[in-house]
Amino acid sequence: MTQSLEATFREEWPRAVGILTRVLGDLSLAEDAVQDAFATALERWPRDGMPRSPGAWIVATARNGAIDRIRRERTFARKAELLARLEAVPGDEEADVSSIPDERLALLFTCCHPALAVDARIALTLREVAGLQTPEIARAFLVTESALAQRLVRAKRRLRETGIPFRVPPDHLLPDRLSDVLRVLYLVFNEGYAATAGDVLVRRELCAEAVRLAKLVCVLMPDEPEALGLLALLLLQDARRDARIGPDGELVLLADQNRSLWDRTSIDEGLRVLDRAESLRRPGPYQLQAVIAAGHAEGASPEVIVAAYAALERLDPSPIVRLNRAVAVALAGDVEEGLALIDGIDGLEGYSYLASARADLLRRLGRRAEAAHEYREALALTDNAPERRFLERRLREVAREA
Amino acid sequence: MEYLALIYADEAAWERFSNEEREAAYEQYGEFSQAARDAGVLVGGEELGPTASATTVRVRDGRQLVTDGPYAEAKEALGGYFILDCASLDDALTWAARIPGASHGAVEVRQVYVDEGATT
Amino acid sequence: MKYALLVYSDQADWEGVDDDEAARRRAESMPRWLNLFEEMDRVDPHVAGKELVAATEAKVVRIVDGETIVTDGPFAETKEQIGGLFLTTLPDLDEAIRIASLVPAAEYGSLEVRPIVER
Repeated sequence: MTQSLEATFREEWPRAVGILTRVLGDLSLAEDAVQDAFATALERWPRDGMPRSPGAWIVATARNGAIDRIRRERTFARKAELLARLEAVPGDEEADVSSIPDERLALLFTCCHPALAVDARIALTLREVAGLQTPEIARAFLVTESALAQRLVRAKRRLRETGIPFRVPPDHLLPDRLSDVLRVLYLVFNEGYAATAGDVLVRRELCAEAVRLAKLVCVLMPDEPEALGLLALLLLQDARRDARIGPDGELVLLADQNRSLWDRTSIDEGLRVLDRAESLRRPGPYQLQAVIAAGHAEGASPEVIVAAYAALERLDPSPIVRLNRAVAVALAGDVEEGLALIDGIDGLEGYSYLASARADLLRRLGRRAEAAHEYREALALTDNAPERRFLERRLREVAREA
Repeated sequence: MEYLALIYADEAAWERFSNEEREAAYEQYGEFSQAARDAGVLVGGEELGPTASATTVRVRDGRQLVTDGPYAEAKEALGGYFILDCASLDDALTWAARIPGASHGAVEVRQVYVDEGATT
Repeated sequence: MKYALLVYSDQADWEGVDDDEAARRRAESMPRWLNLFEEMDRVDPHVAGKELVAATEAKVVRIVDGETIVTDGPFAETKEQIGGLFLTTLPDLDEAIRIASLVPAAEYGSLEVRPIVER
C-alpha cells in the first residue's frame, strides 16, 4: 500500500467506524462493514484512482455492504430497524458527509471504558481509533497476532454483553472518563518509549501514534487542559527519543544526553501547548508532568523540578510519582532524604526502577555493597536489554570499587 | 419462607458444550421451572451472563473503582439462581437437589432475610 | 438491559454481633440505604432486591453418583460472601455502575454487576 493510501485509510477508518457504530449500535457489525469497504477500496482505488471524497466513498460502500448483508440474513435481530437506520446514511459515494456528526470522540471513550481490562482498552483504541492493523499492534506489544486478535474479539464481545454505551460520557462522568482516556494514551506512549521487554528500547511508531491520538483529543475537546497537558508531556518526552539511546543501543540517562539530538521542533511545540493548557487555569497531573518535562528541556534548576514534583504528588500521591519526586530531591542535593523518601514508598515491589533508583542513590553515598545488591535486584526485575546493559555496567562499577 | 438457590457451575465446560448439549440443558431447566411453578414454589430465577461479562464496583475513600471481571475468579462460577418459596429448609434443599446444576456443579441454598418489623 | 447486582461483603464483621448492635449499625447506614432506594425508584421502579441471612447458615447441595449430598456452606471459600442481590432494568452499564456504587456495601465490600441472559 502506498504512503498516501495508508494515511488515508488511517484517517478514514475511525470516522467510518464511528458513524456506522452510531447507526448500527454495535461496534463489531460496524467494523465488519467498514473492513469490507476498505478491502474493496484497496482493490479499486489503485486501479481507478482515489475518489474525490475518500470518506464519503468508504461510508457509502460500508453502508451499502451492511444493507446487503443484513438483507441476506433471514433471522437477524432488529433487522427492520437496522435497515431503516442504514437508509438514512448516504449511499452515494459523492455525497456530502460533512454534516454527519463526528463520532470519533464517542468511539475513543467507548474503547477506553473503565469496565474493560486495560490491555483490552489499549488494543481497541489502537485498532479502532488509531486504525492500526492487528499484526502491527501485535508486533508493537510483542504478542502473537492470534493472541491480539483474541483480545480484540473478547473486548468487543464484552462491549456488547455488558451494555457499555456508545457515547461521549455525560458531564458528571466526564472528568474521570477523560482521565481514563488520557491514561490509555500515556500507556501507549510509554510502551513505545520504554518497552518492557525485548531489545528495542524505543518503538517509534507507538510514540508517534500516541502523539497523534493526543492531538486528536485536543482537537475534539479544545477546552480540556489535561488533554493539552498530556499532549505537551508527550511532545516534550518524545523530543528526547533519539538522545535516549547511545550508539551501542545503550540507555542514556537524561543528565548525560546529547542535547543536540533533542528534537527542538517537538520541544517548541510542547512548550506552546503547555502555555495553552496553563492559560485555562485548571491545573492537573498531566499539566504538572509536562511542566517537569519542560523544566528538563529548558535546563530548569533542580529545586524548580523538586517543587513541581511536590505539587504533582499533592494531586496524585501515587507510588511512581513519589518515587520520581524522591529521585528529584536526591538530584537536587539531598541524597539521604531521597533515599528516606524511597524507603517510605509502598506498592512498588517488583518494579525495577525502584531498585535501580535506590541503587543509584546508595552508589552516590558510597554505600557500594548495598548498591550492588540493589542493582542485582533491579536486574532480576527487567527483561529490557538496553536497561539491563546499563544496570550491569553500574553493577560492575560498584562491585569493582567495593 | 423464601430461599435463594445459587447455581455454581464449570464455565469452561459450558463454553465447550455443543448447541445440542446447551439446548438439552435449557430443556432440563425448563422442566425444573415448570415443576416448581406447578408446585407453587417458584418466585423467580435468572441466568447470569458469564463471568467474562461481569464488572466489579467498589467505592474507597470516595473514589469509584471499576474493574473488569467478577468479584473472584474460580473454576466453578455463579451462573444463575432461583428464588423458591418453601415451607422449610428441608423442602428448599429437596427442590435445590432437583436443579440441573446440582448434578453438574453445586447449588448453594441461602435463606432470604425477613425484617420482623417490616410490613411489606 | 437487565442486570443482577450481587452484594459481596466480609460477613466476619457481623459475627457475634448482638441484636442491639445490629440494629444500631442498620440505623447508621439507613440514610445511605434511603438514598439508594430513592434513586432506584427513580430509575427502575420495578427493581427487586433480596437480603440474605448469614453465609455461615448456607447449605450446599450436590448430586454425586445419583446421591444427594448436603454440606454446610457457603460454596466459595472467599473473604467476602454474597449478602444480597438486586435485579434491575437499566439503560446501560454506566447506570448499573452508578446504582451499584450507591449500595452501602460498595464502600466496604464489592458489588458485582452481571448482565442477565434473556432468551
